[in-house]
Amino acid sequence: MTRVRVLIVDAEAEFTGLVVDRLHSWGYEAAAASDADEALAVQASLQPEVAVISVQERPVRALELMGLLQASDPALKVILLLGRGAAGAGVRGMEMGASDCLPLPLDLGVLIDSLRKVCGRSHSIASEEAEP
Amino acid sequence: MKILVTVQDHSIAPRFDQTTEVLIATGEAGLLQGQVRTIILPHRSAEELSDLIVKEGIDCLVCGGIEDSFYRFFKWKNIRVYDSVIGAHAEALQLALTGALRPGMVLPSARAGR
Repeated sequence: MTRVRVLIVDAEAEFTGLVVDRLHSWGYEAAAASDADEALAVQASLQPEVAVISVQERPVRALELMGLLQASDPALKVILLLGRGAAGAGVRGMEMGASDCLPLPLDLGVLIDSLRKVCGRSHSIASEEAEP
Repeated sequence: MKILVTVQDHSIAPRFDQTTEVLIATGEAGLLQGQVRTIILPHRSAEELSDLIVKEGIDCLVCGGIEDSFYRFFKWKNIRVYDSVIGAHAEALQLALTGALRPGMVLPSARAGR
């Protein structure tokens, strides 16, 4: 089975690095971006099926980025990670077509469940053995 | 009993306020109940980590160094704190579940790594 490709966008490299590392251990192909320019570049090279976008200090920018990524690939699924006080942006994001919204701090198991649901697969990984 | 362990790589994070990853487990008498959850924090923040600990209803915190103000806060909230613990997080979690963990413990995994 092909590995699901996931793009993670957040300004904090330490956060995205940890998420990418954990997703790799679950068998996903994941890459990180810290801003819109980098996210678009990674989208062009990775061609992700899912983008996980953090919505915190600048919710408008996050939603603009979501629109740009979906304009480049209308089939792209989006999961929004909502920081404190970002519920309103989450509502707007859902109206714009986001597939799911998850709270921050991020529960990795909840993200894995959401990725499986969004991708419509019971197992999004290359093999059962890849699960830690 | 619900236990939270601060994590850095495969060890207990040396500083509470610098933690970006935690494990949450529930268990009693040495036995885990359900899955161990991994939580990733969006940034380093002792305040946000404390919010998470209170919101999750944690009974027992296992960590490295922790500021006195946070230590007192958790004690005030009736949360057991095992601080200054050094070693692998899995080992600390197992000892916490069996009631054998103590503050300041240097676990065998840490001694083996020296």
